[in-house]
Order: sequence, then structure tokens, then C-alpha cells
Amino acid sequence: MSITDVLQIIVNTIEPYNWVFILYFLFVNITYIILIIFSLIYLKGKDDRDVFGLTGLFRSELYAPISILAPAFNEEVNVVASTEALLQLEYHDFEVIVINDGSSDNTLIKLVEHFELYSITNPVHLELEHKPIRSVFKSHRYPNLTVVDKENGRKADALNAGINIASKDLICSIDADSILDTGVLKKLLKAFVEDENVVAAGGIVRIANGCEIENYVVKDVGLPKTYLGRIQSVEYLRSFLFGRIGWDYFKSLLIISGAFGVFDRKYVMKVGGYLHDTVGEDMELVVRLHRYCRENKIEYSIRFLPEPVCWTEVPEDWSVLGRQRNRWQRGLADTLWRHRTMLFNPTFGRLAFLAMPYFVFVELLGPLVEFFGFAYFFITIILGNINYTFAVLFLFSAIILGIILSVLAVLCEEFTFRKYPNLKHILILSMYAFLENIGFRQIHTWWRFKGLFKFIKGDKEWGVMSRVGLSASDQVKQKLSMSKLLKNSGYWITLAVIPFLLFLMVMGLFIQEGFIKF
Amino acid sequence: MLMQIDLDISLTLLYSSMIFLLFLLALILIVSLYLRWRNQVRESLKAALLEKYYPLIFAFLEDELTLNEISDQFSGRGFEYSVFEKLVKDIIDEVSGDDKQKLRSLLFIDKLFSYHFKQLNGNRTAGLLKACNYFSYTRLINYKVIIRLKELISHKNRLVAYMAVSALMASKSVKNKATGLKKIVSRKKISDMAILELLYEFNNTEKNEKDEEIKHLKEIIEDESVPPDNKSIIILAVEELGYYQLQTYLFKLLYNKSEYWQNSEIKGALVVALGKFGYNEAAPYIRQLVMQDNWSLFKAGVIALSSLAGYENLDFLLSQLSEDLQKNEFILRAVLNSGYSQEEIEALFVEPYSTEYSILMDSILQKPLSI
Amino acid sequence: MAENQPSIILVEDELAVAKLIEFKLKRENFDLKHYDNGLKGLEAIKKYKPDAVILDVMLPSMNGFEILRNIRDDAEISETKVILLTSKNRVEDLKMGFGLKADEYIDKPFQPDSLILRLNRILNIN
Repeated sequence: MSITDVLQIIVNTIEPYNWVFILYFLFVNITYIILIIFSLIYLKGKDDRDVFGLTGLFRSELYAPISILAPAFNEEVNVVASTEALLQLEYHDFEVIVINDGSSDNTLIKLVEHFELYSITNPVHLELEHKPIRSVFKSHRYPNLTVVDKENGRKADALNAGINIASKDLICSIDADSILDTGVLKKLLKAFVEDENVVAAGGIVRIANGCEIENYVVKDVGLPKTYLGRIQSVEYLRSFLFGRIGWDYFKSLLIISGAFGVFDRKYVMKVGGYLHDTVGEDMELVVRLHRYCRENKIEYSIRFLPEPVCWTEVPEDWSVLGRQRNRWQRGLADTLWRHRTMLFNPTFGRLAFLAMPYFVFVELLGPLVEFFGFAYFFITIILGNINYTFAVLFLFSAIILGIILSVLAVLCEEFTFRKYPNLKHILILSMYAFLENIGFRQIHTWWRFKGLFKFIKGDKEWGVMSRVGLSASDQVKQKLSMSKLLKNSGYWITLAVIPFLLFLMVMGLFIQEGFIKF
Repeated sequence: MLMQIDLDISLTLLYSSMIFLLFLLALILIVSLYLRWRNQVRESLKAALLEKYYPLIFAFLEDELTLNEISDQFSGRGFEYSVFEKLVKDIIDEVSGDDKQKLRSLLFIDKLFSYHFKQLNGNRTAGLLKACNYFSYTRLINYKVIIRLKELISHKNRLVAYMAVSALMASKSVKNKATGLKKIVSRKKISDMAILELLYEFNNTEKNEKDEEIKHLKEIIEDESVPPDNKSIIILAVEELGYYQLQTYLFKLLYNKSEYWQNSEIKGALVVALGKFGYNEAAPYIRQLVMQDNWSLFKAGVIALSSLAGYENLDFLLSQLSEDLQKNEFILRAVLNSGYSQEEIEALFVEPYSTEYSILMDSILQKPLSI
Repeated sequence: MAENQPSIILVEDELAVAKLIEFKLKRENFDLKHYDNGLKGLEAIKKYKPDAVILDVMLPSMNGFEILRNIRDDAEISETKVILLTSKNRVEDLKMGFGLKADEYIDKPFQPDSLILRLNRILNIN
């Protein structure tokens, strides 16, 4: 039996189900379009940014606003500057808690020296569980700074320790490398003043690569310089601007980025804090909050706010990005699996019939369908028994739709708070919105497919990468080895091959139609 | 399957959808370029306006220009007003003394007032919010403005409602202020922060209108249509604002047997407020409450008794130390918080002071009490 | 006259305040340079060695206290008169400011005319 026969058998097996691909395609895109429409409606009505002023509240001691929790693992290079930046945020009353998660470098020493820390006695009877706290420090220089030194856990573990120590009503958890805009706290608080049932709120995360940054303050917004950086700019805009705004509109927001989220401490305590044994602790906590409130019939809301901006460094290296996406997919899978009872369960209202199905069938299983779709497609090409007209048209429609979605995100950006300043940026972004769909998208599908597969295999190791989320260890410059070079060129070759295949198909079409004759 | 049904039909469909999508793409690109262009025009217009207004405002401060002369500079577009207003407010926030008063008068320009009055009677949320903000800032509220503000308290957007009440608080009449307050606190989902903010504005520290304020506060507290969580924050705020005249009244409410007043959130707030007022007559009642098996009332009771302080109350609290570590920690924290030193508390212990407590005590000394 | 103009550097990120101070000081014949960023401000102070410096505390890239510390540690400019102009007016902040040998500490909101009076006083201008 030749390879062709095997391929033919595969095609014959899949063939009766090829309507699944079409249906999936329709379902996904219709969902996207609905989300976009509502995002645009929402964003359009938002020109009330400057009109919020609070005065009397500052005189009352009955409400204690916000604790910022910043976990740090081996951050000796940046920890002082990033903590200083947090302490410079504009707000009348907040505390910063830096949690040294058992760093093996000089993170703690740097903190102690710079902030003139002194030790206070350890607290006992902490409600949330985590690795033991070694000591707690206060600063002679900033009365609102606390540093917690604990044994190494993971980010979730460090955050739990921080939540225990926090003395304010709201907690804001960030990544070690998150850069917050200085006015961010006021904007976040607005959500909590507007509606007393807000239990969590997330802000927009944008890409710091390419921006001009001085001491952890973003001065000028700019585009990343590299291919991967720019592709991710488009991705982030799309995912935050209408992924999340759209879901916010439907009151079904399931994800608040670990890089920047605010929670009502009381509720986080009630649900038991962050989970230690998942790679996607940020999403898991949000889903658990939803679940807890729904199960206990508590009126609540979880919000996404497009105004508060947090900046984060994204990986511009293929393999680091690949591992990150692989991890995200596993985190997603893990969360959805843990809370699978919520799917199609009327107790959970629209979550059960809108958001959960979307995440399960589009975000989680999407790579599976796409992967088999692409495979099927290429096999039929190899076998030569394809209707070129149909294939080319379908593919191009799909690609154009993808582009439209991305360009729409770029359009949404018009309505946001801190924009890319130039017309040139918009044109570049639009171009990358186009490029993303040819090549990168397929590679991305492959990463997510691998992540999903790894999850199904039951592989729950974090890998070195996941200890502190996407931060220091991800950014560590790896040695330029031969194997890495090969791997990277593999990605670039894929990027080149896919447009080439498209070109071949168009040529095939022309030949079939008789436009070109040999 | 699809391929087998009718290739021609699906091809036609695909052709048309592709053309449609391409068209859409072009449209979106044009729209986004247009928006971007419009934005840039706006930004440069704003910069030009700022350059124009800075010298005007400073010249006004030096008495080189009159209000009317400045007013003549406006051509009547909303954008001009918001740029001007923002600029004036930015400067006001940073200066004090005579200059501040003078700058404020810039906001009283007739054109600004009528622009905002028009906005206030419109439907645009942003316009409403800005107008409310303007009136609460300038305190320029006549009866027409007040009527509209009162309507807005029922607006479906809670932020608009809140801002409307906030603007009403600029009124000189306690009655108007109270009407706003009453209406908004009976709405659900109004946050503690919003209520506190409004109560602090309600409480006029400049004029002595305590009697009238108290009359209205009583009515609000009495009103059972106010959701319990709103009610409890009001009660606590009444104490924080120092309306001590209300203490006997609050104490009587403890004995109200209706379900509403037995709500543990409300009851807890009453107890804490009485404790912080130093209303000793309530002590026996509160002690009873502490002994009941209700965690939130226990907490409220402990805070109240530790605020009342006095040998008898503290002795009672220490007698409540039990197997329950969570309760013990809470009691010790509260007692320490009432100003007693560790030694004084140790002396109060009837039973020998165990090491377990001394560890607990050490840790407690580090962290302040929070409810 | 021009040589006698006292030179001042203002480091303030709030444009409205900067414009106001600029307007007032120029009228009083001061030679004023304005920077809205801590590091750039410090560089300029080192370069131009002004008679006096007006510092905001909350600044991007380097806060006013740090700038002051740098000024006092640098022998060439350590004698520069410094006014801290800030909304950070808790006692601890005040302590910190005077600990770093600020010549004046002005709370925001402030009166522009009093700023000028104080400036004149520390520069010994009647």
C-alpha cells in the first residue's frame, strides 16, 4: 500500500464530515462578528472619561481602597525600579505588597537596601494556604510598602500570601514586569463605585515592546520592531478590544489577564484564593468566582474596562512564544475541565449557553478542527483531486474574513485611551493583520494543538517557563545554539511555504480554468 | 456533502461572499483612516485652543481682561467649552487663595452655563455626566436645574444618578440635598463608596444645619425600602460624621422586632455605631449579642465593646476567649486596638496567660484591626 | 538687565501649573526653563547650574526627592536653592524634603504670588 493510498483512505474517512469544517467556520465567525458589533456599540458610547471626581470619600475611613500585589521571582535587575514605579501611581491611599517568592538571587537584598526595610513579626492564622512566609518587612521610606519574603511556590502561591497580608478592600494583582499607567487606579475604582456588586475587574493589557519606556513609565507609544511583536500587537488588540469588551457586554467575561486584574478581596477569600496546581490560575480564579456567585445566588458582576492600561513585554522569540501559547492552551483546557459542570447547566445562566460553549468549542477545540481542516486540505491538494475554484475561493474568503476581524480591532483602537500615534502605525498594523492569517495563524494552531494534546496526555508540569508567568525567566536570553537556529528557521520556512502553497493553488486554478496554457 | 449538493450554487455563493468581504475590508480601512484623520484634526484643534486660552486665563488673573471679553472668544461649539473648562479646572486644582476664587468665576460665564443646561436636558450619557459635574463643581443650581437633577436620580445609568445627586449636594437647601439622598439610597446596587461620598457632601461643615440634617437622616434610616447593605453603610457613616444626637434613636431601633431590623448586616452596623459613639447604655444588649452564635454579629459586638472600653466590657470580652482561634484572634485584636497595652491585658486575664496567647498576641500587634 | 535675571529651572509634569508659573515668573523678570521629566530636568540642572530650582515631587522617570538628593550630592551644584512644590504634604514627606535640605517646601494647591515671594527671599532679592 503506497502513501497515496493511506492518504486516500484518510480523505475518504474525513470526507462525509467535511460539513463540520464549514459549520465550525460559520459558527466561529458569526460569534466574532456579534462580539465586534457589541464592542463597537459599547466603545462608541464611552466619551465620559474625564468626568469622574471623588472628594468626600477620601475623608472616610469606612472604605479602604486598594492593595497592589506584585510577585517577584529572581527579579534583582528590575525589582527596585518596578516597585518605585508602583509607589508613584497617582492615588491618595493604596499599599504596595511585593512578594519575594523564594528568589535565589539578590531580589530581597536589593529591596531591603533600597527601601530601608525593617522586619516585623510574622502574622499567624492566615486564611489562605501557601508556602511558609519567612518574614514580613515594612519600609522606612514608604509607609505604604510591605515586602513579604516567602518560600518558593508559584505565582498563584505568592499572590495568595499577598492576599493574606493585604489590608485593603480591593486587591490588584499584577505580573512582575507589568507597567501600569500612573492614573490607572482611579479608573479602576470607577467600576467599583458605579456598581457595588463588582467582584472583579480587568483592564486592557497592551504591548510594551517598541514603546519608549523610562523607569517603568511608558512615555511614548510605539509599535514593536519585530515580526512576532507586531503580529502580537494585532492579536492583543483583537483579543482585548472585542474579545473582552464583547464578553463584558454580555456579562460573561471569563478571563481577566494575570498581568493586571482587580478583585474584591472578600470574595477571593471566600472562594479560597488562587489555585496552586494549574497553569492558568488567572482564568481559573475568574471562572471560580462566577461559579461561586451563581451557585450561591449572589448578585455580582465581573467587568472589563478598556480605560485602565497595563503594559507588558511580550516574547519576540519563536520558541518562547510557542511555549507560552502551549501553556495558555493547557491552562484554558485545565480550567474548562475543572468547571465542566457549568457547560449547558441552567444554574449558570448565560455563562452556560454563551461563554462556556464559546470557550470550549472555539478557543479550546478550535485548534483541533483547524488542524484537521488544514491537514485535510493539504492532503487533497497532494492527491490532486480537488476543485481548485472551490478551494481557492473558500480559502481566500476565510483569510479575508480573518483580516477583517483584525482590521476591525485596529479600528476599535481608535476609541481607546492610549493610541498608536501615527497613521503609519495603523497602516503597518493593518498589513500585519493581513500577514497574520497567512503563516502565523497556522503555526499558532499547531502550538495550541500541541498544548491541547499535552493536556490530554495529562502532562501538568509547569516547565521552567511557567514559574512566574511570562516574566523574567521567559526573557532570559538563551544561548544561540545550533538547534535553536534550526528551529527558528523552521518557523520562517513555514511562513514562506504557506504563501507559496497559496500561490500554487491560484496557479492551479488558472490552469484548470484555462487562463494559462503550457 | 456541500460539494456534492451543487457545486455551482456554492461557487456562486463563495464568489459573492468574497466580493462582499473585499468590499467590506476596503470600507473598514477607509473608515479607520478617516477616524484617525478626524482625531488628528481634533487633537491639533485642541492644542491650538489651549495655546489660545492659556494667555487669556492668565491675563484675566492679572485683571487685564474681563469675563465678557473672554466670553466673546467662544464661537459656541461644545468642544471649545470642554477644552476651556478642563483647562480652568486643571489650574484651579493646583492653586489656592484669591487666584482660585478668580479662576472659579471663569466657570460662571453665561455661555458655559447655558451650554451645560442644554446638555443636562438632553439624553446623551456623556453630556449628562459632564453637565452634572459642571453644576456640582460650580454650585450654580437654580430651581430649573434642580428639577432636572431630581429626575435624573432615576436614570437607568447608576453613574448618572450618582452624579445627579452629587450635583444636588451643591444646593443650599438641606431639603433638596435630602431628597436626592433618599432617592438614591433606596436604589439597589449603589456602592458603599458612592453613598459615603454623598453623605460626606450632605454633611455641611460650614453652616450649622445639624438639626435639619438630623431630621432627614432619621427619615432615611427609618425608611425600610432602603436595601440593608446601603442602610448599614449609612448608619456607620452617621457615626463617623459625628451625628451623636442620633444615638438614642439608633439604640431604640435595636429593639425593633421586624425582619428588616433583625437583618444582621443592619443590626451589626447599629451595634458598631453605638459602640463608637460611646453609648454605654447599649453595653448589656451588645454583650448578649456577642454570646449568640452569629459570626457577623459577634464581630460587630466585639468591635463595639472594645470601642466602649471600660474594665467591665474588656473583662467580658476576655472571658469570651474560647477554643475558637478565629474568635480569639478577633477579640484580642479588638481589645488591643482600644488602646490597652499588652501588659494591661495580660493583667486582666483571670486564667494564667498561656504561651499560645502570647504568640497570638505578638502577631496581632503587627496588623491593625479591620472589619 | 538681562545679565541680572536670576535663572530658574522648573521641573513639573503638570502642564497647566508649569504654564502658570512660567507666566508669573517671566513677568517678574526671571529666566525660566521648564522640563516635564525628572531625568531631563536633572541633566539640565547640571548643565545650566541655575540659581534656583523648583521641583515637583511626583514626576515621571525620577521623582523630586531623588533629584534633590542628586543636587545635594553633586559638589558643583550642591549650593543651588531648591523649592519643593508638591501635593505630597504629609508630615513624612515634609520631613523627607527638609531632611534632604530643601530650602522651601510649598504645598499644592499653592498661591503663585507666595511662590514668587519665597523665591525672592531665598535668592535675596528684595
